[in-house]
Amino acid sequence: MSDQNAKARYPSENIASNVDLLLEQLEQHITDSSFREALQRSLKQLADVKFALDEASIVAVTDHKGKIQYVNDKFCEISSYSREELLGKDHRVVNSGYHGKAFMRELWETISSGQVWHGEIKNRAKDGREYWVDTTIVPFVDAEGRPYQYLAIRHEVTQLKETEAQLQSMMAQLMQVQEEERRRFSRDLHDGIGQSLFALKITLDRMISEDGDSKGLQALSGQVQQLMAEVRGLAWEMRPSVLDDLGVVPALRTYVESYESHYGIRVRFVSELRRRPNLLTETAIYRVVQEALTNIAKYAGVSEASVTLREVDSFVKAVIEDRGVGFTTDQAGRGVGLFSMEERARAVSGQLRIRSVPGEGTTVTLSVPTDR
Amino acid sequence: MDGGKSAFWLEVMEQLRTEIDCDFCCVGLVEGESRSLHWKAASGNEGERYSSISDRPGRGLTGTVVKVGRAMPVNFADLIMSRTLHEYPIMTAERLRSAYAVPLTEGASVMGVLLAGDRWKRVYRPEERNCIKLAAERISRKFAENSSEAASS
Repeated sequence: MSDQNAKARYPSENIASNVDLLLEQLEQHITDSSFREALQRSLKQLADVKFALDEASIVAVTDHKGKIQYVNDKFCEISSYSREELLGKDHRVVNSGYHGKAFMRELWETISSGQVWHGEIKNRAKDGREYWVDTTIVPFVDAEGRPYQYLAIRHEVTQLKETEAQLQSMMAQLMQVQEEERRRFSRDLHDGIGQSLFALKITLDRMISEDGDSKGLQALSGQVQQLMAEVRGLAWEMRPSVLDDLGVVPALRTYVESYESHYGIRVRFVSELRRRPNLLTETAIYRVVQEALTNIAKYAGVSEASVTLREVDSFVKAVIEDRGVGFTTDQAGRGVGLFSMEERARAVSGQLRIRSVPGEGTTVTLSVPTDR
Repeated sequence: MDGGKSAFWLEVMEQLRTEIDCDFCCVGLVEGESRSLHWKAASGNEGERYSSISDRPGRGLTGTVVKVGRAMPVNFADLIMSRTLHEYPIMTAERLRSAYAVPLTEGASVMGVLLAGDRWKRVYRPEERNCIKLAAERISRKFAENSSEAASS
């Protein structure tokens, strides 16, 4: 019997597709009964596992070029294509165009080198509906290690992805509402109570100048002045109005000044920004720098730090650096600081990277795309 | 600040440190219209950062010991719990775990703070607290002497 004939009689593209046929013919081909029984059992198990897989997951098998050789009912159901429309095509049929070339290249490089790929993919059904699938692609390799077939097992995670996106947009909104509230409070404190205190101070000073000997009034005036400084400080801490009026660079300059005299840590602040980013980006930068510098004061054990703002390609980058004690990732869970910096970054479609080496220091890098 | 004053402060602080066996001691004065605390002299310090540290208006020791005029224990763990560690930069700068802060007064007004601290978790016993208060009173008395000298000259 030639090779060609054998393939035609026992087609092997589809996993376990000829188990029944083989089981029927075992009797006449294998005389050793115990060996035959073991083989029967294994074949039966293979068929059962295949059945279970089809019940649980979206399954597709392709050849080494990626041409679809088999799809199960679940695949047809989710993609709304019929089996005939899919067989012989490649996966571009359901491509949503969401993932870039680099993503696809990485996928192919992984599986064509014989390694398992795992990830989440967004696909598009025939009716235009987009769906997310958690995907595992297992290459089947020949004796030389070359893949001759790929088995893709998928589960739909669209709802999970949607919830994730909703959660993220909620977080972004929450932070924006918080900033707006802070802006309002800050202005009310400054313009309301601040102005009233100022009026009170003027009245007191007039009383002092009219009545020469007034130790009590003078003490009172001093206390009002102190109260004014406190209210101003509170309003500024909540949200400095300079951030809205003049932008992130003057706001950070003032912040750094106050930080230096509060913590006794010198900060080298360099800005190479030539224009103001939009207000949301400015707020994110301001808050991330603030959080990172506060962390330095609390944990780094240094007397110097540096903050750099620059525009690289179409990104604004803020880098906050210290040469302090550093930390390992499992130590970092203590504060909510790291998490909130990441959320700030995500809310403006930016990215936050933290590099820390124990004994060498920490670098926090925020990059935010400029044209959004 | 004149050298005589700070030499006297150092003497008092060193004596206090031997008396109650604490790691660190410092004297701060209220300054400016916001009357916030600035540290002027220290004993047992690890670095010089203390001298460029000051409180935000109405926060930290400025908002407690200075405002109320009463002594107060400061505990690192409590500051973490109440999320106010950033208001007490002296604690992180000198790696203190426990401290006791006493007001320095002249007449009815608070002029500053004497702080005794340790780099381990310590609870100050009543007699130790009393020692810190007595040291603060010695410094306070000097304020009164100085201002009466200034008045008579």
